[in-house]
Amino acid sequence: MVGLVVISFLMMTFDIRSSSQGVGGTLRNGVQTVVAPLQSAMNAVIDPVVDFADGLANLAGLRLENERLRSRIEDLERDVVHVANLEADVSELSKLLDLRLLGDLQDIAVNAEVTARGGTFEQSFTINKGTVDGVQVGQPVVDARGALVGVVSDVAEHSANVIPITSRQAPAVTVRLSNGVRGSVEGQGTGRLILSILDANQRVLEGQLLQTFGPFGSSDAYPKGLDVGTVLISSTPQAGTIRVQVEPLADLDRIEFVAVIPWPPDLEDTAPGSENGTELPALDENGNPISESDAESPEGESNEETTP
Amino acid sequence: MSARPIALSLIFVVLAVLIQTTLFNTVRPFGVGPDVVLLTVIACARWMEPEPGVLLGFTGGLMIDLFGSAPLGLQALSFTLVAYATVRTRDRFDYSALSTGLAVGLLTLVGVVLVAVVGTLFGQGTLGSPDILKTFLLLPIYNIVLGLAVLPMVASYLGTRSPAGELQL
Repeated sequence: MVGLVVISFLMMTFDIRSSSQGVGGTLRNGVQTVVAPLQSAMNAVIDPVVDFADGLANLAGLRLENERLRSRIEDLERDVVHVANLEADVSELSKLLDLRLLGDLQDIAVNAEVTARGGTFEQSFTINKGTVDGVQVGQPVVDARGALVGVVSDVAEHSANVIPITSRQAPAVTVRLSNGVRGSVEGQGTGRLILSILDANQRVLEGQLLQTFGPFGSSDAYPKGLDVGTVLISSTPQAGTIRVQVEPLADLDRIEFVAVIPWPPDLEDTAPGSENGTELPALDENGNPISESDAESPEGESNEETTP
Repeated sequence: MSARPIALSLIFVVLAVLIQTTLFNTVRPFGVGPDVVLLTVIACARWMEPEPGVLLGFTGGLMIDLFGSAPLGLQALSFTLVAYATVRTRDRFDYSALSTGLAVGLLTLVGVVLVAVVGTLFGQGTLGSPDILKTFLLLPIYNIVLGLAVLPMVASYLGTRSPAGELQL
């Protein structure tokens, strides 16, 4: 038994020192490749049963949920008018600034299903898309609403492992608050994040939305404009700095479907018609590049399809 | 000890890993899921000879490690020690159904606390999780409830017990 304990400690040490890229990473990829089909088969059996039971359990709450959604629709309809005006401005400005918008990203994102999770305290999870689908290590992962979930840490042929942004192993996120203040968000190995603002000169308010502000400096792990989370508690600067907890927008405990964003984009695959050589490649729904004639569209039309 | 119980135990653990990473990926009442692999290790180690029992714990933990991003060996270490504790205390399982349930709950708690403590020492920050107390409380309860089905099932397949307390350190 002592031998096994020593082996466990040695494995942990080597795995941490190799940042999960050495023998441990290879083993993980191999096992996930072998087990992924079995897990998919089990999910195919389990999911309908779980969904049915979930539906029964939530029956009582459906009426309240319905009313809440009606109210939300009214709010959103009001917002749509406002957003439509802003959208045109943002589209023009973004072109000038050579920034990328979430709408573009969603078009070329690789949709995937969460097929497995790790141990008791593990938030990392496995998805059913891998290198054959274009998934690569380091690519950001978002949920169905476009909220940042994490980054791809390991990739096998038909599966990949995703580290959530709440993990200490996930790269720090450069964020911008709704009032324009910039900061950095890091995972703590818990269910929440920590926002650090080093040159703070104003309060951070509870509920303020944080969005990615990359590529910024040497950090280009995440594209710009992805929702990250909301500030949990209002906080005032202490000696010019603020450190406050952030609740991730993505529901990392119950997430079932995600999208992997091909980021940073491969500049050699630039879409025809690109003016500055840094726009994202135009791909069809299967992820294949579309032809030059298909890719070209009137200026106004492409602006209308872009969603900030 | 024949190879049959070892092979059966391995099959149980592999099935438990599949169930843990799929079914309990979505079924997590109050944000916490049971640890079926740990429960299966306890259930099997209860009937196996000491050395194979401890080795089964290591194998089960390692399998779970391979599905996560935590350091490889973290759960293997925890499950190994839980399997060892199981073979050392298994005689006390049999006093009554209540003692069996308590033993399963306590061993599960030991395993979860070990993962949290060692994980924190290795930089995972697990003990700082806001849900840590909830996990410590709910997970053993879930395992006790699931144990009502798993323990008799494993017992019916693994048959008779080998002598306890012969484990060579």
